[in-house]
Amino acid sequence: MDTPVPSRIYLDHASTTPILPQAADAMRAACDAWANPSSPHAEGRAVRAKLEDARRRIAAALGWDGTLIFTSGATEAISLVFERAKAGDFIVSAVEHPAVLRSAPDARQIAVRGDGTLDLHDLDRALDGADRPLVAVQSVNNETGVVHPIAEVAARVKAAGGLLLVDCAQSAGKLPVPDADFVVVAAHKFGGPPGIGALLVRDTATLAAIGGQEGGFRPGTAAVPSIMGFAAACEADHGWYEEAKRLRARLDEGILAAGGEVVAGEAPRIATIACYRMPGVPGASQMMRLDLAGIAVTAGSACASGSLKTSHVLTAMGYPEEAAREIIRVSFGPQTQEADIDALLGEYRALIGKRRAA
Amino acid sequence: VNGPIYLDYQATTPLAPEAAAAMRPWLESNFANPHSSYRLGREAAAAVEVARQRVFEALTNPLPARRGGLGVGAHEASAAVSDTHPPPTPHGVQGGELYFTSGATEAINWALKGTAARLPPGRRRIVTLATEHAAVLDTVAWLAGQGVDVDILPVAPDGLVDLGTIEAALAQPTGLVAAMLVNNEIGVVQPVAEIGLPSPAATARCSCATRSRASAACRCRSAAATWWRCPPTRCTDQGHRRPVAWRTAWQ
Repeated sequence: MDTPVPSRIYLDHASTTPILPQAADAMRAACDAWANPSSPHAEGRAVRAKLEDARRRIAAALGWDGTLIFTSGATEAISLVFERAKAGDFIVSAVEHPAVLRSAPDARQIAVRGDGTLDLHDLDRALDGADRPLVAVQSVNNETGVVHPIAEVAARVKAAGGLLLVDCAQSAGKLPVPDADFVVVAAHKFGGPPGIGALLVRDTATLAAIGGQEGGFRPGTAAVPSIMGFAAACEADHGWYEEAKRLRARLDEGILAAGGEVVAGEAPRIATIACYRMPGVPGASQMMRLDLAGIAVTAGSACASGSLKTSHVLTAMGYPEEAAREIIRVSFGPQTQEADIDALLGEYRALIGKRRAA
Repeated sequence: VNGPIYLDYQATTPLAPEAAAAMRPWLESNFANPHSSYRLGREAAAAVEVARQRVFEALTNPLPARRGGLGVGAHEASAAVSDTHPPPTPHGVQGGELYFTSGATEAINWALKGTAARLPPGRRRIVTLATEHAAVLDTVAWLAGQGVDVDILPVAPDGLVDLGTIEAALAQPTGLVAAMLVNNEIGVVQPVAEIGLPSPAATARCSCATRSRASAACRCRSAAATWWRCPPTRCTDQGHRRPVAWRTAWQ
């Protein structure tokens, strides 16, 4: 008899997520309504109506009452803000996604504390005397799952007369969207298709228009089928998040019992992302062993893996280089089952046992 | 029941059944991030690279044997301008690289702003046509605000740019020429191959520069410029008008 091929266990939802069936259905239906929404004929107007309806549905699902500009994803939305926000000095947290750090390479960076959360005292120092600052702080860190105190950040930025950009790529669809001047969302992080996202803008007067589509803020023909998938994913039932909390607690416990360490274990963390250190075993080796066992996790974020660069996030938290290389990221979605967690723990224990034996 | 008659293929086109079928597995089962290094990610990355090669080959396929392929429009375009100037090469883009973008607007912004940012001080000059798509005209207007010298050339009453006008414009050291292959409103085919040829005047004026002629960008709406031969070249188009975007490496 043939050996059954083990099915893959996917625990890297922070990298990208399976497209939800309702999102795929919405995209298939939208492929039949393919006209250009900017065309004035009946076909174009019909698609325009669907597009505007999707815009309203997405804003409603996210709880946003400002303007919503469709972009090709979070990266474009972020670079759009840094290019065109009517602001002076750039201030960004040291643990932002590379999309932010590359958009503002000369920005003043705010330190994080040992637990990975933003150092509000350092933010105060940066804001002191800053000229119309544009401040970028992610809602949730993509490598550790740490939740930053956005309400406190927002109050400080407002008092300083600045603008706040919050990258919500990892939190949208799971946690409420914060009140900020700019919010960034990517559909493929919560069951929508890749290649589509949005920039939520509180007051469009804070952003320079350049003409073209999306109210003059983002030229280019709208990707209507992708937008339909985005809307369906936003409206999906996110009740599974409670189950994710339980699964993550079970995983944390199992990792600690096996001799691993929970990174940022003391900080508030989103239930869908966890980061673990196995002392003495490089994250890349852990990832490869788990991959061979049919379990997809990542060593650091997808954008940084493949290279041997040390995580800037762990470095900012004060981890020595060696230790910062010994981590894996495990992230959950609605498809994640308790059996998946237990399978990962089984492999983890075997791996750590091998290290001890060596 | 007969459907409505759609005669606006220049605005966008119905999604081809083959395209919809090719997308389906990536909506339903495959989904991994191609930048992830575990197996699912590597499979996705491999699929992207295979697609990149297929797009590239479709755009550079020899003409006119390929029936229904992307080269047909370019063959017609080539024939239209080859009465006095034979098409420079049969296979068009030689080498180079293809990068996926979110569409033509992004590719145009990338090519124009990216090139302008690297132009040496003496050649911060872009030449383009008055009949370009707004994606080009809006971008060069923005670049003009950044201190780039922008020269927008008129076209003749037939919609075509006069090669003498091009030559005169290129007598000044120029960093980039942006010209569309086919106009999106009236369908005229610009003599893009001739625009890309080195001008004697430009060569004389730029002989001390590293490159002896302006690099050129062409926009290939409606037809693939498979006979294009002036590297460094940036060609763009958009999937929903058939071809996708490509961009050759900066030399």
